[in-house]
Amino acid sequence: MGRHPKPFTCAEITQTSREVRESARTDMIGTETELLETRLGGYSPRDRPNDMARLSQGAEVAEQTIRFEDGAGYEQMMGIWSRLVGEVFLQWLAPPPGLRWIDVAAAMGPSPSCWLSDPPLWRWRGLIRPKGSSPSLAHDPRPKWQSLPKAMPWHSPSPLAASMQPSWRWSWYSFPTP
Amino acid sequence: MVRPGGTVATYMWDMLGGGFPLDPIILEMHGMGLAPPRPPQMGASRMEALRDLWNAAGLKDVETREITVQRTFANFDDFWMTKLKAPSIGPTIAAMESRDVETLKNRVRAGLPADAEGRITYGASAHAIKGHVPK
Repeated sequence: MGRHPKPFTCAEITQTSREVRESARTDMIGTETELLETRLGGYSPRDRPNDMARLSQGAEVAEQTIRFEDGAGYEQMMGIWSRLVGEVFLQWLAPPPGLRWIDVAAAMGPSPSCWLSDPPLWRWRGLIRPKGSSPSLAHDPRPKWQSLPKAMPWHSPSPLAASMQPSWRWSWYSFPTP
Repeated sequence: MVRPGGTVATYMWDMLGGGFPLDPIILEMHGMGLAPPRPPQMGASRMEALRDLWNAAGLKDVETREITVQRTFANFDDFWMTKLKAPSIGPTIAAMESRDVETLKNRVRAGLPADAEGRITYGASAHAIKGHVPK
């Protein structure tokens, strides 16, 4: 505890994201992966298949509590990775324009909102803030809930909800236009 | 709850196949006999597990794909200091003896080749899935 760094601003995150995009390839998908990795000379732990078993063994060790308390550090450490994947993921989902978005359980900071609200066709409504989530959200002006409201506070016939679980996945729930 | 015709999709880091961004360090920690904290139920990130879940939920037109990305760090120290911010391995490494930390750093460094400018580039991979609620 005690580490409550100032969260990144949207401008800072956008700038970081732009720099990352310039230095990283995000279009590596499916069968192109191996080819592109070879071309870029990039290292992947997958180059060491004999060590992969250790990761599985790791799943068997006692699960210890992982506390997410440093939103800015997490953004730098993982958020940049997540956006690189997220951009490809969104292109693949190809959601129709004009949807409204909600961030569910985005406990770590403001980056998802910047990431999603950057394109003008997406609009941001609010986020779920679980108990114990990042203190960096304290000054986030978006509406927050402790859990998904039974009556969603939106009135659009075409909302789309987005969910981020800290550290390793995004989940999306869409409600298409009738 | 998703409307008829709505999309349900997710991606998850390939936690057991070397796709997680922290895996270059986690692998070496395992190699040193250390057991850093891991997220629960990492097996859920397997593509087969995702597909089973989507099919069991009755979703249609289920498609999967792998998403691999690369990120470049200015140098090894940039990579190392950034990754120490991880709430999983960070506290574990902070509690290690300094000589053990140096051993770990050297092991990780040996596995992460730098380019001519000293930059570190490596990849991470996620499993993505999408499907539709029947209309």
